[in-house]
Amino acid sequence: MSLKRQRLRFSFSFFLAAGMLFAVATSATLRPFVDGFTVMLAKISAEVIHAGGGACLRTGAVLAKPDYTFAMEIRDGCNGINVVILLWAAILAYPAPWLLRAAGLLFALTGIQAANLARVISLYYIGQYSASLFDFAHHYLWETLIILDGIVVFGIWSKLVMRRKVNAEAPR
Amino acid sequence: MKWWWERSLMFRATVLTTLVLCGWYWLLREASLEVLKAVSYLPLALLVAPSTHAPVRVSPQTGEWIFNVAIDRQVRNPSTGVMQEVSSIEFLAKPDNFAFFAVGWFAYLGMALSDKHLGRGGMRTLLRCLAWQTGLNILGVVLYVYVNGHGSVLREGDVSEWLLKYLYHLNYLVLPFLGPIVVAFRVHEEWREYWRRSIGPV
Repeated sequence: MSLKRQRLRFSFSFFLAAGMLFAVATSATLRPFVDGFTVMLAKISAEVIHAGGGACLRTGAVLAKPDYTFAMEIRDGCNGINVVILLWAAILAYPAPWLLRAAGLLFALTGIQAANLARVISLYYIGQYSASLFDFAHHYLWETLIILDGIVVFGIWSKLVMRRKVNAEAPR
Repeated sequence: MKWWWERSLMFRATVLTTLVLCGWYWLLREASLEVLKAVSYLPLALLVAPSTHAPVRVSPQTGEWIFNVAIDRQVRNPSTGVMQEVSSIEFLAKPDNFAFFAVGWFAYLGMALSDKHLGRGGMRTLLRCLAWQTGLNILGVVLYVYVNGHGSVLREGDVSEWLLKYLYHLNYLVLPFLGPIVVAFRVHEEWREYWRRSIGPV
């Protein structure tokens, strides 16, 4: 298959997979899982804040300063699921063995959620300092940075796949 | 740091996109929203608004944007339960709700400036890509207005309610941030090179 065709096939498969995964993620059936995931993210964020010597109260997906002068709720778009879905779509569209794809899905989830954890915790502190800085970092900056993180994660995974393929094809 | 700057496109993109977005947020946000409103006017008039009303105007009291959306169908009145013909509806939105669609210009600029090969002829490429990005931003605004207008007259549990929610999710939470990256990958040499190294040949 020519390189151009291969890339076209990748792009088509990517958009198809992303469309389907977003349809599943936004369906009412999966809503409790998405909400549960968001609460788990809030729990982990609160634990990390505590482990770092900070103070934080958590109720559901809400993180609040103990004196209640600041509180924030993690919602859709802040839980990193959108970028995980885009990355999963790219991994599923990429021609790789299924075992490596499965490893890639796990790597993508970990890589994005690690960055997202940094986002949530940084926003918790930024919000206590300045409302406008919080708005900027929350709505615009972190969203863009997480997408860039997704590209890096995909780049690392695809290079590993290519290296495995080259090694497998090399004469012994 | 210098090594990272010279070697890593992603490092440069992170730094420059952050700087450009800071400049946009604190200096150019309101101006960019005005530009977005101006360039969206005609597409909104042609695709979403009824022919009898202006697609968007500004509330003199609150500064909010008032949109008109053509509906032209029978809907159930939630308070009386009676079906009635609705030709169009009006809704208000804060200008800041549209910042998600204006940010694309600047996120793209940050990524474009991080391309080391953006030298001679770079201005033409930049303008061409900004035109594409403008198209994506307008698409975002048109979809936002359409979804909000039609979403307000749908019955709970309707299949089209899910479809509108799905569209809203993609339009508001995914496309504004994916768009600039796609434009950069399509056009800019260093981004294309990064993409080539990432996806193939396999």
